[in-house]
Amino acid sequence: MSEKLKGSLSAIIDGEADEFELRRVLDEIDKNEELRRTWERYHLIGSRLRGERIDSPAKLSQRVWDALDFAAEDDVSLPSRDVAMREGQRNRATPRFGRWTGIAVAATVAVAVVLGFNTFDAPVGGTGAVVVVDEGLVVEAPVVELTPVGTALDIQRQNAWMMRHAQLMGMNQQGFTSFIKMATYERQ
Amino acid sequence: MKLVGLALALLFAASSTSAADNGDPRIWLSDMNRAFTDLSYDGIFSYFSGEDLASLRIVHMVVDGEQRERLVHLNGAPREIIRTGETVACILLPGDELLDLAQSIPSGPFARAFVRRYDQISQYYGLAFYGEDRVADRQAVRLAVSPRDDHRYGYRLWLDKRTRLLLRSELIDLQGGRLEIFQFAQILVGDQVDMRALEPTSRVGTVQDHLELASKRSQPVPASDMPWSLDWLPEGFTMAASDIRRTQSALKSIHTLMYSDGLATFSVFIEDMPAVGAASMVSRNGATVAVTHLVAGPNQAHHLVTLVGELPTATAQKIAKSIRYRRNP
Repeated sequence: MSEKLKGSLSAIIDGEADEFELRRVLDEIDKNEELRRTWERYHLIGSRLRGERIDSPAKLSQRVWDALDFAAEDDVSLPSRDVAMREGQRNRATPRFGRWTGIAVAATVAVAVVLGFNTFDAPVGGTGAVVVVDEGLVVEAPVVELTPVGTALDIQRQNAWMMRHAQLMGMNQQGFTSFIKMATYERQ
Repeated sequence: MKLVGLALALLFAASSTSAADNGDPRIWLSDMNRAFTDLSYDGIFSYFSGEDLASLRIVHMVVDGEQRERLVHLNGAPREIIRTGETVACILLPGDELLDLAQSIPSGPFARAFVRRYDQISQYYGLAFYGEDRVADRQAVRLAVSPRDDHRYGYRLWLDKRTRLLLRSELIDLQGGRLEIFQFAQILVGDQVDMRALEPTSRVGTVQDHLELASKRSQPVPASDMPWSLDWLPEGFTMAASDIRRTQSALKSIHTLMYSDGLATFSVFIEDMPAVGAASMVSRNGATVAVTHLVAGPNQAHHLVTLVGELPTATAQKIAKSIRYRRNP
């Protein structure tokens, strides 16, 4: 494996990679078995493996690509709005945060490589999925707390809770008005 | 000078007379609530939220003492929401993204949490009539519901003069901008409504996703049993309901708390930290804001808190950040 790729991989693991580096590594990952193994090794150190099935590399990297393409769309970064944005300012030109700014993005992608993108409520430890809980990397508070960019998964989670809120409201107030939100839901 | 004083006095008298004509705005709000559930109506309305405009049809009737309702999405994805008593079913086409979303949330029966108490809201909102208007070819009385602080939104309501049904409403942000508009274009009320209008449209290949929602039978979890509490709440908000449930994986537990000031409502969902991590983020869709952040739970393990409600962003964030795990519930 080239030193350049190795360097990019380290940068991703350290959360210092730019989008270009991340894409380059992902571009290589299905062609380059060694790179994929290194990637997995980096992430699996210190983690627990329950269940033993790993999807084919091609399928995995397709999922990562899907996730990347999704995350790179302008619309997707919209929901993570500037916190300081004034109420009532409903401008489409929301300032975008830098992409791939933190280790958590790399971590999400890394786990996605191994896990595939499940919904957040996917049965953990259930059938099919290999569970890699890279605790040191993913669950550490400052790391996660500092990501201002929501992944596709984060956005879906928030949407799902918005929907649940609408359901609860619908059942708890007179009138149909809360169900309007459900009926008109469109992916943001 | 005298004339001005007289004019003012007359104006004052006139406005108090018109207020007397309409009576207590709190009664109107209660009547509106009752009209929603007791009357038969079939109408087409527009709903503008955030940046989207949708058209929907609502049919509502009470049949043999049971509430029946049908809400039809008229543009975009064909969807119908059918309520029969306490059961709510969504009729969707396969591939509808709403289906995926509905499956990713732990739904299930949730105790009937609260009834809107319009007689109590006047502490936090000013209520005032402000003239009449015509909506859906019906005469409407306008009612302004203005928040007394910056922690909640206001409403402008157009209530049918005769039946007190809600004909139009606007949700108003802190700067006076409109976050959501709801308005009937056309509505039939009472005997004009045909019961056959409650029947869902039959389409080839539609699927039903049953949402067993609130149930009068399921008991709410007492607030004292909840291991989570809020250190800060805007004045007037009280806990309306709480619930603890496990997801199918049984590895995750979801704690739900609902709060209301009688008009504005927000829900707090606390879940175990997902294995793949999560981002702290704020998103907004029309009047609804969602704030996600981390909080330390039992054994200092991280939990993900998501607050969703029709609240100003700053208020939602302040509340979300005040959520604490109580060691001894």
